[in-house]
Amino acid sequence: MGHAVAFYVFGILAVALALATILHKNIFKSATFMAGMLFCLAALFITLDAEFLAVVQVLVYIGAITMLIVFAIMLTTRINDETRQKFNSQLWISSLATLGFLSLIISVVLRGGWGGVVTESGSLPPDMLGAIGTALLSDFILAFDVVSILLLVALIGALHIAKQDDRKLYVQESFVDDESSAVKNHVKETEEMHV
Amino acid sequence: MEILLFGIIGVVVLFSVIALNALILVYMERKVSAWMQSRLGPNRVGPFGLFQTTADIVKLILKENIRNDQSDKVIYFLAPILAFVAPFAAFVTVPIANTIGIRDLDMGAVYIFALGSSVIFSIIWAGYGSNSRYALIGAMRSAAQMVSYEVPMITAVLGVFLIAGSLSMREIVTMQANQTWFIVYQPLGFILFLIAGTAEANRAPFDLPEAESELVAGFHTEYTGLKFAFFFLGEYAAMLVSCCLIVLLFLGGWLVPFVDNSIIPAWIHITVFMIKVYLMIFLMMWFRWTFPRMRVDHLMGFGWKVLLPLAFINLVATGAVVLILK
Repeated sequence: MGHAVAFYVFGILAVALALATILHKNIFKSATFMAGMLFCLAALFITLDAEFLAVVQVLVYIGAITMLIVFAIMLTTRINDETRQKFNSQLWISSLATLGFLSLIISVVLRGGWGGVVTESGSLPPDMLGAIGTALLSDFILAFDVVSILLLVALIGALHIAKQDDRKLYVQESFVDDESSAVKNHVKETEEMHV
Repeated sequence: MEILLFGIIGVVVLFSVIALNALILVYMERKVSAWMQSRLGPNRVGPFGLFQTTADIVKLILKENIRNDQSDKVIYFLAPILAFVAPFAAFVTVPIANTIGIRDLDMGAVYIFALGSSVIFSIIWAGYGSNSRYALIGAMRSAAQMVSYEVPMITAVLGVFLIAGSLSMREIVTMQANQTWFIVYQPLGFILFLIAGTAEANRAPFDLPEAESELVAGFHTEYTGLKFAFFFLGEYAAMLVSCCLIVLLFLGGWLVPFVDNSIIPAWIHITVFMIKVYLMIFLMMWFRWTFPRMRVDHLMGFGWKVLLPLAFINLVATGAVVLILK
């Protein structure tokens, strides 16, 4: 009973915080709301007896990923400026895509036969951590490795893009006299962003 | 109902222990630093200056609460609370003797690391919420530092988890009772964890987020009175958590060396655990008053280029040995 109440409370809170994340004008606060939302998700996992998942959720999503997002936000200029455009004009396309994705998720959930939201606990293996570890390194080893390679590729790609950007800036700077003033302004802006 | 009562008692006891510990640690820090610099340290209030910190706390509570007009009210208010709550919650899974501890979790170690990583948020909030340059620079430094040092710290302890085959604090100590202390098997891991743990607790020589000679007081520049006291309390609680972790993972927790521990009463175990923890705290204070503060660019290079490769070597070597011995 208590679990079910907590589940719905945290569920509603998570949805509210997710909405606040996208709708708030200040991007720093959006990131803060996102951290709150992820924390609510961790609480949801606890109500479902998936304690390990909850702890990993806090460690990875709040401690690392949101942290990096906040870090990136603080490195950009004028974070406090609420007049800054945060929304684009692709409302209809994105709503269509979101609706499509939502219907996909709903159909999967319905097909999965998860009728009751809160399941009865007790069917979990006693050594859940060990079970997760063994499953990841035996039955799902391929998926596990593919994900690691994907992360490695993302890392190398990010480094490559960062390096390339620097070089382009350098080239543009050296030929800046021959270019129009628009390019000059562009270089200046890019420089400002880097600072 | 029983669980609720147990929980409330646990929270009250834990809070008193942490507050008392902060009082002792502030006094200890002053005395240790004085001793290392050939000074006397606090010696006016009470015998040997013992009540100096109590007087300071009273002063902090009575101080006027000043808030920067341009600051962000909610975020400014939340930051010191989180700074204290996260290390406080981490104590839930720290056992102080074989049967004494609030709750032993399966993944106790991961739980502590997760809470440790959310402390960064309080510092970022403090930096952003105060709307002050010093605070913001301090918060940025701290975010970069904590994210970078968390990686070698967790990689360094993976060796211990490989040997113990468990993430539960109590089981890890039990394993050390059957074998020897893990510092014997993991000397490199111990040193790496000690360095990264000092950096995670924002202690000198890694106290760049609050480097007073360049940033006034870093992320808590704009905080006064009780809110500042909460940051203080949180910092000492975080230091206590780090030292408890080091003792539990590497130094045998509550175990007495060279004796059969099953016949020793619990109160000796608790005393031994406290002695070990305070020795580690003394070591951290020793670091603080011995090493000069690191430069901010050296700090990043040291974390990523020295600590992390060493941690990886340690992990792979430990994994290989564990695999061979199986």
